Amino acid sequence: MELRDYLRILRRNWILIIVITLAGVAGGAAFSLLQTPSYEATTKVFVSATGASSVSELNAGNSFTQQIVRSYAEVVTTGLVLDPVISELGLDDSVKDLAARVTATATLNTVIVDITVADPDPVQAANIANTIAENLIEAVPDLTPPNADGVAPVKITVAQSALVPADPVSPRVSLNVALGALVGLALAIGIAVLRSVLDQRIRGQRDVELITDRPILGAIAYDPKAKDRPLIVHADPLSPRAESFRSLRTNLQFVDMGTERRSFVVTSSIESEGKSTTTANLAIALRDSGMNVCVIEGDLRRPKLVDYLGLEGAVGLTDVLIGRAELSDALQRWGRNNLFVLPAGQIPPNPSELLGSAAMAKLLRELESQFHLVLVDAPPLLPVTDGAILSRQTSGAIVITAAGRTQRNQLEAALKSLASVDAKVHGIVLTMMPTKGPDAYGYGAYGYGYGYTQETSAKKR
Amino acid sequence: MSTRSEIPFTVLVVCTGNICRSPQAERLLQAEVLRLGWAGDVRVSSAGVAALVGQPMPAQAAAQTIGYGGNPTGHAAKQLVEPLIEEADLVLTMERAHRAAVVRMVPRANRFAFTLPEFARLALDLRASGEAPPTDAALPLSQRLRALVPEVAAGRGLSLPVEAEHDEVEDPYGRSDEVYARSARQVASAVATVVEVLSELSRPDSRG
Repeated sequence: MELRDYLRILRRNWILIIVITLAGVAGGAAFSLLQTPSYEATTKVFVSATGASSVSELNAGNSFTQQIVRSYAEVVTTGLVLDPVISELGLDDSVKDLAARVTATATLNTVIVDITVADPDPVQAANIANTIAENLIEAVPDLTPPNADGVAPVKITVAQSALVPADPVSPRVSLNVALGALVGLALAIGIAVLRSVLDQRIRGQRDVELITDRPILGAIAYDPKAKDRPLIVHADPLSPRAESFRSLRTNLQFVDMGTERRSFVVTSSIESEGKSTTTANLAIALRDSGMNVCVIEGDLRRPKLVDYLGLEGAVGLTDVLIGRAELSDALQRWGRNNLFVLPAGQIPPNPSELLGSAAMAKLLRELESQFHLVLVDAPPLLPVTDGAILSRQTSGAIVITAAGRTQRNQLEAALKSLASVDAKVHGIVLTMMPTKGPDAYGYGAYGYGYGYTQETSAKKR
Repeated sequence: MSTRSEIPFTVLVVCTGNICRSPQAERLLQAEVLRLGWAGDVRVSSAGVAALVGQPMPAQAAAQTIGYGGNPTGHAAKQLVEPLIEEADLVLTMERAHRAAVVRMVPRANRFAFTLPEFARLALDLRASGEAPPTDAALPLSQRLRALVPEVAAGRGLSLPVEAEHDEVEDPYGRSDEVYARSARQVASAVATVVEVLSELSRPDSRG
């Protein structure tokens, strides 16, 4: 996968990503709310060694003091200091409990000890810190008795009393929320990437390009109302969907059908990908450009084309092939121009055999001589061989692929089945394409030369 | 096909047994033909794909026919055969299955076989679209009507029935009086529509 693939994944899953990230934020906030807040108050005491008169003594005194400072820092969390504090303030804690909430640190190369106390109550935190400082000062004579002159070698003064803290140190809401958001985002991206790696469905142009080098001849916009008005080119010529059929028609001009044959098959990998609808609309679009077009219902198993076109399909291809009906009788004109339809006719027990017969080849050649273009609507390639057989009988196949429905391996298998009989694949047509979003096909990449009102906005997935 | 002016415009109505729906439609059409003074120009007959040959209309069907202004007397069911289809200019059936049966017997009939409600719907579409060509006053009525059939057929697929069943007339045979009434109402309203639109569009002074 390339960077743009990842970007597409992110675009496709943006809702999921936002939701999970917000859940992370909410989790961080909830975590913060559930914690008892803790306040910290710090008092600073200054430890000095007295009675130094010379520089060397001063130095010695200093290093002595620094050792002393470290020792006093240790003393802070002992019972010697904390016991009187507990009794003085009437705390419930044992020495061990209180020691856990007290940290005393001697700042390196200084003679200052920071005594920090954590407590759920900010006032209490300051109280304890200050009381500890007082008790530490009181404990000095016991620890370093004064010398002969009655001068105490070590003197501790409070450099800074503990103030009542305004804000709790924990929970640190902003940090927790940021962490939650970060974890949520990472999780969401992970899920999104995993989803698209595991999701084998073809979503758009890019997925097709990864499977085959055959051109994408068109992308038909998804229309939730397609079922109610399959013949969109006729019903609503200005809709984006109708426009996409017209650009497919334009792209077909570049398809090389060879010199002999002016016919092709419209097929797909699996069923319900939009073959018949595409065939019918494409035929109407071709007819609208002034061509004589013939459409053959080549799906002798589940013919749907005539239903879309509103014709009677009792007699058609099969009857012509077995000589029970004349081609001229079976062909039905659709509408007022030169679009003719050959229905499936009676459903035979052996469709593949009939479609591969010499009679079928002869019929196709005859129709090619009468029409500018012959389209054959075929069954899907994976369940039956009819599509591949018909592709051999015509100039080649156009493979319809429904975005968001067909799996990659299905399209691969379908193309393989065509390759195995040496049938030409003219290209791929994507159907049910979203008109917006990361997989949208270059709509709006080229403006239309006329204004159209977009009546149907694609349904958001 | 022959379009000699003296050959009347021939309508064939088809249903299953040729005792309920198709004779009703036939008699109602005939009543309209008489009303419009088209007696010499239009001929209406009916047949069944599985006719109860020789039988008259059941009492309920006859009563409904009278109620809508048709004359049910003297009907005898007859079986649908190819010549009947071949000489028809317009075949109106009650169900899509009948239409398929007609086309299977005479493939060419796919150009002029419709279900009755379908033909009524398409006729309305044609009138609404204003695409009907102007009628040639020099031609006799039968030929003017004949020319209208492909015009109506050209509208197939441009509009779809709301439900596929809307293009069919319910079979009342052996059912309650209520079903007979409902079925006859479908037949009568479709017949009225067809006659109204065809007479309007075939009028020599009408301009499409």
